[in-house]
Amino acid sequence: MAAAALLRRSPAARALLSPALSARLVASKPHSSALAPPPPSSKPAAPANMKTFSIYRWDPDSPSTKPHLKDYQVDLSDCGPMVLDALLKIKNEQDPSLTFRRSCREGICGSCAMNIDGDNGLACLTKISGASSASTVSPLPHMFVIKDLVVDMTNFYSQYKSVEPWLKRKDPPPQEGKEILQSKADRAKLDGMYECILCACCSTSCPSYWWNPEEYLGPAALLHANRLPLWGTLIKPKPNMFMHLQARGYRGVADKRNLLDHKRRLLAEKYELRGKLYKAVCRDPDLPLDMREKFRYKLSKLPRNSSMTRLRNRCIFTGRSRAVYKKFRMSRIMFRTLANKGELTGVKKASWWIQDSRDQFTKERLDAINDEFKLYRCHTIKNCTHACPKGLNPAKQIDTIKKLQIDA
Amino acid sequence: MASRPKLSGIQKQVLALYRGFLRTARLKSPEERRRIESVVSAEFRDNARNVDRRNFVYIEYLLRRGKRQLEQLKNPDITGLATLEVKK
Repeated sequence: MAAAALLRRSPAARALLSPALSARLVASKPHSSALAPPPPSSKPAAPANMKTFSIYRWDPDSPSTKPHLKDYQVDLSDCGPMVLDALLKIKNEQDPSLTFRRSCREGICGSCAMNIDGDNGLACLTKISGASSASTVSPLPHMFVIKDLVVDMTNFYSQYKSVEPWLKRKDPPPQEGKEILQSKADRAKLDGMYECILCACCSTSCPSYWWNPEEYLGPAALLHANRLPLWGTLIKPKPNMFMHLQARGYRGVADKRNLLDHKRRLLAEKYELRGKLYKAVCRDPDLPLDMREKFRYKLSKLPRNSSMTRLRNRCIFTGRSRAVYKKFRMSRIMFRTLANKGELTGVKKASWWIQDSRDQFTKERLDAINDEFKLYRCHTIKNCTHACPKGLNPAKQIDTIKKLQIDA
Repeated sequence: MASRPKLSGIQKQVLALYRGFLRTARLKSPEERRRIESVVSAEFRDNARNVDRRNFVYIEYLLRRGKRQLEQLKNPDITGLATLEVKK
């Protein structure tokens, strides 16, 4: 009935009541859903921050015009921070005919690679420098221009293809139908190479690539070449090598020193308990001196060759006493010889596709690029490392390939 | 015999490209061949008339474009060429 009474209240009364009620409500219960004070109707107009962009333009459809730089004014206060934002703003508002490649706007596709203020980079990752100076945007240097900022990448892609950037194996994977396993350490070697997005910033910044674009592969393709092969991995263990070599009783090693050492080991084993016992008694200060003396005498009577100190880990192949590694039971010389032959399971020279432990075609890959032009046009100018928008170091990878060529 | 004009390198390239197109057209079916030949020759003649012979930049651009199109045409899976007229 109270509700009904409320409803029947006259409009005037209701009008009187409601503001008071609402005021009370507002005062007593500040609610998060209550209307926030309306936002200022318009922000005080940010001062127009104009920046000039000089953009390379060339239209193949009007053949008589030469390529030229056209100036565009952009209000930076109304524009995103990256050069790509400015380009899109120009395209949307001022000149729709401006042509450029772009796709992801986040630096992962590599489409928007261009030359900004003299440095190659991705437009979506390059911040606009301050409004004070004009910026020049031009296509990647020394590449054929198709239109405005779009360049012809076919040569670049065909060089990438020529490196055969896929895994190649000589024998089938160890487990049919499953992935080829790789240790964490081996996978860690691929870091710094797999992130390459083929944007071509590095190759087009290399003067050596400018002068020989057809023959020299360029930092990007070489980086991918380095990614794949791995030196002598997946060596099949030779079955006979270690089978007869046990901790004791190795036969077939006709080396006097090893035989003698073996004899010492046998004796040491035989007298081990006894010797330790005598020694313990000798050294025990709580025992009477004559007893200790007696055991001292007994200890001295034990054969000399039963002493542990006379044992020496010798190389099992050559009998060399020095530079013997416990893990392999051989001296450094034999280790090196066998490792290079590939007869030691799991031992390989560290290297990167050349570096990928799963790829077996290292030697062929190295040979393929080992001619005067493909690899050796690189004179470590290092422009590529400076240009790479992903922060990779193609120069370093090229360096490792060159080192491998020396070893190969 | 009329003395043939000495052709410049770039002229030779253009003619070589034209020859390449005609040869590739031979490998396609007969009516496609006729169509390719007519399209290609029309384009070459148009450009020969309209493009200034000193405009190397543009001529080289057209050569590159033509070479790429020829590579695509050479592919045995491609059966023919078609053109679109864009009214400005």
